[in-house]
Amino acid sequence: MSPAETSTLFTDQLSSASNGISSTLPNYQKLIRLHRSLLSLLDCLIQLPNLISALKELSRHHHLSDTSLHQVLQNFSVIQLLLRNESDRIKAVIWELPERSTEMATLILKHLVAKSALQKLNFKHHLEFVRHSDLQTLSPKSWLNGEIINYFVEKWCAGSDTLGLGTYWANKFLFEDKNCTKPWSSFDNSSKIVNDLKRSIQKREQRLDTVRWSKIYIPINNAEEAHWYCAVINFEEHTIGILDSWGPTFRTNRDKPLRQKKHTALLAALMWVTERVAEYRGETVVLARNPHTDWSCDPHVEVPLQPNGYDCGVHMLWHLYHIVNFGHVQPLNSKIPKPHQFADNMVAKRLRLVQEILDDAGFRF
Amino acid sequence: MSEEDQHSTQPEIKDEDANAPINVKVVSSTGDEVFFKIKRSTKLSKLQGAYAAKVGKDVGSIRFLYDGSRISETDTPASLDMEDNDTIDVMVEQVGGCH
Repeated sequence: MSPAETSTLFTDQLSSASNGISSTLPNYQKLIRLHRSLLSLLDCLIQLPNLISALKELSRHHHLSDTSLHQVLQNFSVIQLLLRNESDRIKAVIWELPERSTEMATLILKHLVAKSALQKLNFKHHLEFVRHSDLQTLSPKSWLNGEIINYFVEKWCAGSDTLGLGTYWANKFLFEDKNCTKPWSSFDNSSKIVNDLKRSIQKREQRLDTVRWSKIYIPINNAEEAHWYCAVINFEEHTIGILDSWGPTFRTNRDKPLRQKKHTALLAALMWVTERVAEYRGETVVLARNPHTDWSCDPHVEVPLQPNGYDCGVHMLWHLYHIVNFGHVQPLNSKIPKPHQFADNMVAKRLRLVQEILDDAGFRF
Repeated sequence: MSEEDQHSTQPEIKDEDANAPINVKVVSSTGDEVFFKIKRSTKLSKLQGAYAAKVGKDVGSIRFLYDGSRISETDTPASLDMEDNDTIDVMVEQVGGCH
């Protein structure tokens, strides 16, 4: 049997559900450990391409023929490729496993949260404010808190073309009140707030790897309703959309005229913000009293709905996940693999988020 | 406040002085305001501690924000480009799930 075949067999056995729920947790742990050791092996090989090109350069310069060192490095290259493919495959299995049953995912998630409380971990990897008590808000059926949201907005946006804002940004720039219930209704283009707004965008921009971003993601917390939802401004496609996973709002909104829809006032505030951010980007966008604009603004974009009273924070984060990975939120019937899709109970996603923070924090089984 | 006004009329004390103290307003989530005078090079964590003590709260239970972003432990008015009479917002933890 080839090494590839052996490992396929190994992974398939680990991920098989035929042994029942009792063996799920140990199998999950084995897969995580396996994946981690592959990643550390790949870390060791990270300089390989540089080494090969340096050696080639040297040989060319001195007119040397290929040595056995060339052969060895080439073999390492093959190994690297194999390891990388294998690591990707195992990661897919790790993501797929908890999607099979909510009981399984719940069991593993509870274990992870409890176990991680006993280890000394450094949560400051992507945000200095995360603590274990924040991690607990990712437990099954718990309400997510702002620290968790900010951690992933910061992390996922860094390498993307989406400028993700912090959870308190909306409180200052979109709403009059600190509970985020009353959107600004009068806008003064000469006030200090315009400067503050542009500076806040500039500061955020400095945290991205790229200089050119095309979208803004704004998480919003309505403190009175204890509800997370978000807004997305897309400067490339000229759209503004409010994404809200709460079904009752969506259903009662659907048939109402635009002016009476929930979030229509917020949309007006977002249009004003869009004009000001466009100025910052050196573009001209006129949305107020401009029926001829080519921008389309939707106060309630159709997104998968949460059929429960606890997943709105995960949905809101998953909107960002789709935007960063696919450009847009994908509908429920799309062909993307299950681990990317929204689900009635987002517990498998919660598990992934916890695992991701714990990996960053140095947690070991 | 009247003392500062007198100071500001003296020409030798200029805003350009990197260490000239600035006035900072801290606004709670209910709109209550507390004023502080702080050097531009002083860590804002000192102000946070003083504010928490003043309102009788644990500093870990409240969040301090400038321009809608959390203030880090090492931030100073200078590092955040703060101006005189700027506002720091105080917020409580945000949670959401929807009942």
